Amino acid sequence: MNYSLITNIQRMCFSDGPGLRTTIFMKGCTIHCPWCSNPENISIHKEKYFIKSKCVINSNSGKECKKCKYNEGLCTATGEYGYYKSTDELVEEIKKDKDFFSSSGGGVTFSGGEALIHVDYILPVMIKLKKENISIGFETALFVPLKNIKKIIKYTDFFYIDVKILEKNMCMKVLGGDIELYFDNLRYILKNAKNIIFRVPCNDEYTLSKENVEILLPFFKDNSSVPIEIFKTHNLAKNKYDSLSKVAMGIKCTDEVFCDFYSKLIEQGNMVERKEI
Amino acid sequence: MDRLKDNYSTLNDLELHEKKVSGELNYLKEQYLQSNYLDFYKLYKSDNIANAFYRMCEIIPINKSEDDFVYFFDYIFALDYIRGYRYGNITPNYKIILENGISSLFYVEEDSRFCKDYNRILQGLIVLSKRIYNQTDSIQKEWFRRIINEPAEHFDEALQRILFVNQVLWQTDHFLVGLGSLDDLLIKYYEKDIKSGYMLKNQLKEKLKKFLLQIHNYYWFKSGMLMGDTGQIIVLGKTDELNNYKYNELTIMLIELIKELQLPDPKILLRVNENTPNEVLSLALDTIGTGVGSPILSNDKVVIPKLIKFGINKLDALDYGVSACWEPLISGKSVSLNNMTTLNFMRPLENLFRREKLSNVKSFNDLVEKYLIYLKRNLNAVKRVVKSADFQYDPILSVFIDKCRERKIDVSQGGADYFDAGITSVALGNVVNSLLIIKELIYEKKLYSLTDVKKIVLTDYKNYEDLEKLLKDKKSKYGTMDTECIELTKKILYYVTENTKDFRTEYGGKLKYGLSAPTYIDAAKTAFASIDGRRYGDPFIVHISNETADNYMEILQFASSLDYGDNRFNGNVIDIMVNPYFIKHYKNKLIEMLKVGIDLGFFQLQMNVVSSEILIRAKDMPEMYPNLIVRVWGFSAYFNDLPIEYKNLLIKRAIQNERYMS
Repeated sequence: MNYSLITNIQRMCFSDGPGLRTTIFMKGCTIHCPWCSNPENISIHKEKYFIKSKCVINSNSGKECKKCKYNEGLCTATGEYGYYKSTDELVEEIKKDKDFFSSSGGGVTFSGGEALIHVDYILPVMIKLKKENISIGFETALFVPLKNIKKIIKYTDFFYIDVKILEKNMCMKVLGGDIELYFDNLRYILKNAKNIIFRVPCNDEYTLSKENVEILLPFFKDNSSVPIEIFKTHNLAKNKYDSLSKVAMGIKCTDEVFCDFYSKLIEQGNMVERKEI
Repeated sequence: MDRLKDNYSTLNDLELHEKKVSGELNYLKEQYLQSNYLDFYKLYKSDNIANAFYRMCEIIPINKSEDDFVYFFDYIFALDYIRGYRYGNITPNYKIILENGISSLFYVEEDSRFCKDYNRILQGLIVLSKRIYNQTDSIQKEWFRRIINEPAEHFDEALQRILFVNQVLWQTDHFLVGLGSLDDLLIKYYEKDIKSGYMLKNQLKEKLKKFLLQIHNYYWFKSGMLMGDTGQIIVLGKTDELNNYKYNELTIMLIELIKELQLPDPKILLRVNENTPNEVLSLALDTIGTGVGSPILSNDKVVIPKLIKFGINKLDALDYGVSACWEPLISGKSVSLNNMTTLNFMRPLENLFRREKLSNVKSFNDLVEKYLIYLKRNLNAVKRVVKSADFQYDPILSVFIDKCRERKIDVSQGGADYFDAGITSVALGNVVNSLLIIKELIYEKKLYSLTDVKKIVLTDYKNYEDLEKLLKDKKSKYGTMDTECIELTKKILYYVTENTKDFRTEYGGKLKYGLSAPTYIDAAKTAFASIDGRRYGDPFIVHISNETADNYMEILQFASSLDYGDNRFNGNVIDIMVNPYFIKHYKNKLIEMLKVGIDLGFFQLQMNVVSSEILIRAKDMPEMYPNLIVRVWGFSAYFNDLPIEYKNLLIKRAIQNERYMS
């Protein structure tokens, strides 16, 4: 069984890198952020979903499919998150927009979940895309073995690197991540990658807590040559959580905290951009 | 100000428009004329159009306002007595009046009725000019002295002459009167005035602004069935013989002014090609992004070769303009009526379900072939409608259309260079989607039979409400790069061409068609439900669009994959809904996308920049949004002026767009 599953191929992504891009969302993640807006990408396995609002039989109650005559072909209320495409199929899919990539400096961005789990699957795709001069980027939280990064860095034009919780114990407790692994990977990427942008998902409770900000600010000051994008976490993925019978934590960010963080980064000389959803 | 409006001074433009459309104003006008201007009334009702025009010029009240320009319209004296199929949706050759004094156009010998009437029209124009001269001051006086014997010399004088011709045509029952390529037409006057020091740039810009405001006057009268549908379209930009993109300071200035004025009318069609500079596209997107509804983009890379292949002279094709909304035509040389009727692609499918013995349909291919047979019958009906048009003798228009004078032939008798007939079309997207859904449900998944489908569409989904919901939720294939969809679309398009290419009008004009139409709501009102989830009376898909798409690239690719050759070039507009946020934050990427789209070969593209939130609020509280402008089929209109079904459709499309694009 091949575990490199895709959940979505999103064309015309304007905010996942330069130019016009296609973003490939891979299934599976090594951490579990409470504010995750792609809950369907946390588990590496296929997952059944049920979207109540689309169920024509059962839209007013129930949390699961109760099987009806429409299951055999018309129903869009149930299904599975995660499907497999061969590398050739994925390359062909990406190349559909090749005309748009070449003139805009765009290309493909691998995201997820954690796309760097799937480097054995992605690497042949990258090699083929590079032959067509298509730009390639990764969005990553960096909680992966270093060897994974080493496999693909040669073909990667840029990394969006998440910067979330940098204190060791909190990182493990909240995200389930090993911060030492993160820093090791980061050091390697800072030394060897072509382009890097930091991304900070901002929320009052975790990433912009007083304690975490006290760590983030010197971290960014030490890495002031790397541009930063900050954005607020949100609750727009509630429907996806519902479809998986999971609970969305609804972790938000107030304007006050967000703007304060932004101002502090500016004051200390960082290149920072506020992104809206 | 229109004197009839004075009598209804408490009515707003929308109310006046309603009275015009209902016929009430016409009735009152005739009563008034019979009581006060009986001699004119008799001429007005006669076939003697030239003498009626002359008499109108003698007696129409001169409405001299304090504005920079003289421009007035009087409904009481509008020559709107129908003598046959009337001309509209065209652009006159304004150059005739810019480069000549009126008197230089006279025939020395009146050796035909046409020559006699032509001269009478010119006499009328001179009478009117002299009357205006007598009642105006300073520079306007000079303009109306010079118009009789001399060509225009200055930029403002040229603008006045354009207004004069435009006014005359509206006054004489010509509708949807276009403005042509104003940047090309006026640049020599503009550059000369700057060089000579006659006026500074900002002064000339101010004149142009005043001109646009004047053109917007009488909006209620100029509007067709819907407020805003005036046909007052300005064509900007062009391509030269070497495929360079040509534009000038006036191109930029006019777009800037439309952006500044934030009026739904006049509007702009911007011709583009693969060499259009980013500066121009950026300004166009900035303007579109304000929500003003224009410019619409027209892709010279695709349009020009198709015009040439159709038989349009190359130099004329390079100079193409459009009729009211988007249908290409040769401004000043063409009296092709580009929207004579609408081909409704859904009718043959309805007829198939109503009349065909469904047990005779053995396969999907069979079904498609039978659909085409029914389509042929509809095409025959369309051809009969076009053939039956009996155009009214129109020496007034003939003065302002090239070659009529030279040939001594009226426009109605083939005096112009081009007199083809154009039709629009609706529902192709719904038909393609429906056929593909039938293929899936019946022939692949074997979930239903054709008889089931017949029952569903004829009973408007009665007892099939669940299925309706599922089908409504289904993503549209039309507008995607689905191979089957493109093949089926092309098959139908080629079939229409095959069955219309040999059609000729009385004077040898050919039939052309396109995939856009104003009638996506009206034609659908009496259309049965369709198996793509559309209920009885629900609007058809708007032009070339796909509200279930999660990106714009695919619709650009789809539209570029279609073949607009032969006679299929009568307007093919991609219509996309765009959230204002998009343009504000991603303008540069949108420019790149548009450039690729131009290169790939879309025909035309228009954007409706709206947010569903604003539209919903405007529907509930119109007083809070008096100036909200939206794009409707091929023009811009105030949202508040629209009938409720148009508002609802815009809201629905905006919501769908935001849902799928997020």
